[in-house]
Amino acid sequence: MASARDIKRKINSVSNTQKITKTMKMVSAAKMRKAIEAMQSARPYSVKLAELIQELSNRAGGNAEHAFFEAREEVKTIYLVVVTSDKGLCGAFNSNILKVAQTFVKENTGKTIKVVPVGKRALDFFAKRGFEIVEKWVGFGGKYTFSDAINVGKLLAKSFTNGDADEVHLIYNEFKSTSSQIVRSKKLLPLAVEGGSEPNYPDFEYEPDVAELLNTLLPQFINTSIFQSMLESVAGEHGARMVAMDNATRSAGEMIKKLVLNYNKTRQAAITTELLDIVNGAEALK
Amino acid sequence: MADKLFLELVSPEKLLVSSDVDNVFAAGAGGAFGLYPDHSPFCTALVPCVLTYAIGQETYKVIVSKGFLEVADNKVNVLAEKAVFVKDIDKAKYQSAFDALSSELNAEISEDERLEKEADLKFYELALNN
Repeated sequence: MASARDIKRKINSVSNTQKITKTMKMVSAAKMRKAIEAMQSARPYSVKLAELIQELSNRAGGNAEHAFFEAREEVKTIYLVVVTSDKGLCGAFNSNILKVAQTFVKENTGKTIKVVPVGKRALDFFAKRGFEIVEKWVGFGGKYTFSDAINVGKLLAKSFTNGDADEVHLIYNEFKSTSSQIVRSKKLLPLAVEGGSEPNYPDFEYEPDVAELLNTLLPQFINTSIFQSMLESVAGEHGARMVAMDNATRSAGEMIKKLVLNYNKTRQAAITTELLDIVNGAEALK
Repeated sequence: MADKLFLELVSPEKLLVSSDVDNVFAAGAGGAFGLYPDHSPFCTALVPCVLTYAIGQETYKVIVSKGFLEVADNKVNVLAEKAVFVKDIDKAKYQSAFDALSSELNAEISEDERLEKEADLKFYELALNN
């Protein structure tokens, strides 16, 4: 049985860990608030942009011609954008994403899958399994700006138009609430157009013309989708970490309770043994 | 007859303006223009410029980089890649971004990148001069 001193040492170490997890939880809570704010302020832009594109493609009669709309007859190469966090200690946040990514790869056996990881976890995962990494975006520490998203979007748009990629898919965590994130997998390119409905304002005046406007709007739409997924992922990461750290703090508390009980028992046993020794000694001297 | 326009100005980072205004001035692909209530439906690509709008006697200035502007039903939607209120400009930060970009422009880069960087440069230049 462990001595009282050993148990004491163990209690100290567990309570130190508890302090760390508690702090991490508070830090995550603060960061999450900021991330949610950033996410919400980005929303009006993407909503407006989607509206404008819808309007313009309605305008073009539902058969707007742009390289982004062209589906390839034979899909050979798929670019897979996987958005994860850079750091761990956030529960099943990253493994959920990677599991979905892996299933996606399995469903598409026979096609070449090239990975564009955003976040260190995705890079490590795919690099280890021998996937071709097109370009990586790691080490942002969850501080993404819109120009980061533009860089990713540019790469994707270029590879799609010059035929390197026949399809582009995006997998990321959508922030639903603090305790729940949903893994989303969506096809980014080619773009699906819903459409053919009547334009809302038939007498719109465009400057320059519709086609040219679409030309600049569509890449922007890709960028915004990526930016949105980055922000959702950051907010989700902090939420997941907060919950994971809360659980860790709670189980550390339980562990300490058990250890203290154990410690007291051992201490009492030691006192009893010492007392017995003294009484026995005194008896022997009589 | 409506006597106000409803202006919404958004950048990917945030919603900057959402209020009733009397007029809006900006520059698009086809040149500078002004919008007053009851303007006909109109949609244009924006070039980097100073967008101004007035509420009563007060005028407000926002520097916008390239983006889009749409007017219909007395609603003005502006989508700008970058946008900042003139009063919120941090000169030192913009100056360093401006310098960094100008030196990048001196290096060898492709035509597409040059166009893009020049637009960004224009944005910072406007921000510094206003």
